[in-house]
Amino acid sequence: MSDSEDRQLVERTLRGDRTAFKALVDRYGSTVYGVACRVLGPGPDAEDVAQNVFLKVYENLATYRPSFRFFSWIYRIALNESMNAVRSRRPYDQVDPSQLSSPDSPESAVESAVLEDAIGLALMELEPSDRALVILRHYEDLPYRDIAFIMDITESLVKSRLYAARQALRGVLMNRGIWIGA
Amino acid sequence: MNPEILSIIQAELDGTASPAEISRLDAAAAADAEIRTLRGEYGEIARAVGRMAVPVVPHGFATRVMAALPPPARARVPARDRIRAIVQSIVPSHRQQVALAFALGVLATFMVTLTVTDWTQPDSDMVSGTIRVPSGATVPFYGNAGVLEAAWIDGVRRITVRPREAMSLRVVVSGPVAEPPAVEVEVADGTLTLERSGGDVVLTTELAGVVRFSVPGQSDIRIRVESEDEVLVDWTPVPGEP
Repeated sequence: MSDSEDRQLVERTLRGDRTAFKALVDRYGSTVYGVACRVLGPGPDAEDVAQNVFLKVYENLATYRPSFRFFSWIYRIALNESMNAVRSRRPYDQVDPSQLSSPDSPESAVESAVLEDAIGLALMELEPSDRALVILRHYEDLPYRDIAFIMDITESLVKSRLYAARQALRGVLMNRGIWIGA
Repeated sequence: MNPEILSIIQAELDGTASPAEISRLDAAAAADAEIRTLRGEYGEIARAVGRMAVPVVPHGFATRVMAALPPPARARVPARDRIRAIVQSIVPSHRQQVALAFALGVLATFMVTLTVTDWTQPDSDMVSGTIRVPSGATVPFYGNAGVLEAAWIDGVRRITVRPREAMSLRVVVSGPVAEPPAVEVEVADGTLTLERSGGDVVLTTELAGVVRFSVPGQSDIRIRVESEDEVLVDWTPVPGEP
């Protein structure tokens, strides 16, 4: 996915070429849906949010500035929509922490794949903004600058809040008895 | 745990630690098992996050997204900006814009009488009749499209015609347009029916409600009611003409 290709697809969409927008949906569908899943948890809510993200992108495409990466722009929209959806949830709709799996023995080693699943669940116990920071840094592998744009915060705030988020994530894993074998 | 060491551990994860800081961390980890463990845990957490399974987009997601999109016009510049751009291209001066708005308001208030003629042949089933279109026409502009709404009066107008199976209401657009106009015709609550009344066949028009059509720019508008091979009504609104 090159940035120039994205800009061309945006321009074609603005000229009325819906196939160009379909190409953007195909390109970023996984990313957007992934954001929604990571923030909301997988399920119909995540798909609804993902769909709303693309509708919002379509209706506001004329406001996209090519000086920013399209990926960062759509990610920002996806994150905001997902966070809004979380905030509008009723308390008892929150992700059930008991879904976190605990090993039989608090000191048993966790296989790599199990750790990833455990981390996925542990992330759901973090505040949505902390969750987003960890995802953006370690899943999307974005630099501070891009994270700052997406989260609409300064780079120094990215750094400090990311540190805190990682600590919180480690804390959740430890509390659940998930041993992170190094 | 030394907060500074912890900070260096975190910076190492983000690739922002300096070589000097890495060296310091290495030395600290070599001397302190807790630091070694913590460094390893954070590293493993970061790597595990990166290895998380990619959520699979539900089947048909893109199709559902495309089906839910609004009409293409909404993907472009918002209507307010389109209108502003068009008005400014026609009349850049603010004073002229005010004058244009006034003129459009005057144009919007007119009454047109539609007269059907040439239906007086002896022994024919056709008679003359009148369809009256009262005032209330407005000409708002949406981008390159103008919408003229002519409200037909309620009730029934009888036009006796030769029997035809099909009647149609058609909007014909002509005038100074840069490209073929896109015309949509919507007849709200409108019906054209044929029925026998005595020995005559009567065309009953019940065009109660709104005949709405979209034409670009300042095109001339004609409204025609046609049978299969005959024009029954051919109308062009003329401002101010009763």
